[in-house]
Amino acid sequence: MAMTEQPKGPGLGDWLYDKLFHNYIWSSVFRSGYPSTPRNQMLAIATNVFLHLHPTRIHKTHVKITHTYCLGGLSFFMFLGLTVTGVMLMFYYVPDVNRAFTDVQSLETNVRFGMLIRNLHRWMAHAMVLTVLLHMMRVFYTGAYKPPREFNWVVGVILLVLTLLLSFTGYLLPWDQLALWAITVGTNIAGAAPILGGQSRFVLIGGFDVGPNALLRFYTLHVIALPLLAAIFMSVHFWRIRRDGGLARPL
Amino acid sequence: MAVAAPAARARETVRQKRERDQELLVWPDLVFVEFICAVLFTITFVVLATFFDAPLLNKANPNVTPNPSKAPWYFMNLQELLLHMDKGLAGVIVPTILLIGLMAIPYVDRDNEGQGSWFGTINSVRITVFSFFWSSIWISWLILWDNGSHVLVYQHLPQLWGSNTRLQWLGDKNPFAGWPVEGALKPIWDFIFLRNRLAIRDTWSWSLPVPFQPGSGPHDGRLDWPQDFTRIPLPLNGTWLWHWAQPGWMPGWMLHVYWYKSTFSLPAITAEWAVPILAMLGLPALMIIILRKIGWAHTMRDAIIALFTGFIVVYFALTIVGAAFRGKGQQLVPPYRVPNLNDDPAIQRQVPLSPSQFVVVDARTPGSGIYG
Repeated sequence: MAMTEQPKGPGLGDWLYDKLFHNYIWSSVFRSGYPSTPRNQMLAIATNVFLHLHPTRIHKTHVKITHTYCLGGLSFFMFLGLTVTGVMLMFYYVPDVNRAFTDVQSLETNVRFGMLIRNLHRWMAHAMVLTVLLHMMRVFYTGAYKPPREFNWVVGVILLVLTLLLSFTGYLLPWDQLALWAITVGTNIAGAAPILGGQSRFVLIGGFDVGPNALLRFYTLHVIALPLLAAIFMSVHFWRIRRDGGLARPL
Repeated sequence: MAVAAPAARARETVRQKRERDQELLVWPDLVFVEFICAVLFTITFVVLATFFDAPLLNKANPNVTPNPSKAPWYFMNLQELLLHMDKGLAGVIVPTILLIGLMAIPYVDRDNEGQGSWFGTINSVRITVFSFFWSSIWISWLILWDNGSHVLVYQHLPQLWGSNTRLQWLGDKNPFAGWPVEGALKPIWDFIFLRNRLAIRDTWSWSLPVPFQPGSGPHDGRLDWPQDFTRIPLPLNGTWLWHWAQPGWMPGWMLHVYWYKSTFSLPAITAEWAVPILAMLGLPALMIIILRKIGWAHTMRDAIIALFTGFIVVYFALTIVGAAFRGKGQQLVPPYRVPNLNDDPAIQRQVPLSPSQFVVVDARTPGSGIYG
């Protein structure tokens, strides 16, 4: 019998792959397989609700790390991480002056991975302020605010302010000495406005001193109002990048 | 049917041409980079959060004030600024103007030149470096000067050469004694040796003979700084428009807006507003003029690079000074003398609570725990 090379029959791996990814349920979630052709790869971006804020194709200089250092993306990554850890923290935290501090203490000691979640939230919050500032510097020094991207720079400045406010409102929530006095100092700065300073400080902290009202206001702003605003401005920010043809390039 | 909106003023937007042969597919070339980046940073932050705990001091107590009390780090620059000018100017007016200025950048610098690459215009790197040094040197000097550090330096100069005398007389001595216009030269000499900005208001004094009394003090034939300048009435005072006395019919909140008793203190305004504003406007303007004179800055983009770099430098410099160089009572001290709040028994967490000491907070049993 002549020995000719025969293609190997399907092995166990192929069988497993076929069962896992070619079944009815999987294909009801992911309508096509792994996108291996350029056309399918573009469709994968354009038809996916999470990915379609990307353009389908991008200039090759923009994939270089040193062009952006991923700073905008990192800021968004921090925002997502803060949302996830923040939701977890909300399970254990009540914004009441009698409970807030004890809640944070018991979160650290009685909750499994509670300390880790709180640490993650804290360091990511600091990191987000830093990455947003660095992102602004990157955009400035690469001249990426120039036409037609003027308004997106303005949206970016608004997002910087929202980031600072998000971090600032979160600073009060542990209700420890650090929180109370940092917010007292911070809101005194707002109270120094020439004409309506006292009024705006009163509205901000719901009284003359940082107390129960301030804690509730800062909590509400921190967990719903400011993140919602930030999400809206972020959507506009990302969408306009895509509409303006991706990142700026030399003419 | 869609109606074309009338183009009020066409913006001349030059779009980049697409170079399709230079393009990559976002899947996989970008999406995977983003994914790897996210994974790396998740790992980094989990490791960071494992080894470094977020601070938690004692429970908030309005009766125990930490000294120094500091704002969050990204507002420490504002807190630092408050030490150097009027509170309203530093806390609200300057940040507001800066934010508006930041937003205005693309509307002032509309040229497409230098777009899309790092330091894309010809002189941008050297302008950035120049602005970096200009701003850091000036901000350090201003902080030191407002602290009175220069007085310490020149008073201790003889000690450098082994003498044990200090030049305490230097500011007091009048080298113009006996000169014909001594009275006019002495204030200038004193001004040079003023301790800081507030000394213009508090310790600088001079007296000039005048035939009339323009100031607010009693007429003694002399014009004295500062007492004759502390209650200068505004021009409209006393008219129906601008009352000396409190208008009784006016609701309280309106009095914040309506300055019924309007006098201003020239020494205070000089020290709290005029000198800081002069520094904040004058030094950047001087930088731009120098950059133009030496031929580095030609376009609006060049000027904006210089100003933006200055802003970033000052932002971080003030943050660093506020965080690491301000001790008790916001005194300027070296970093190792900035008190650590964890060392203060009134503020630190004294006894770490072990889980067994905890009161189980249970709303169903109101007689127990913290509700008891």
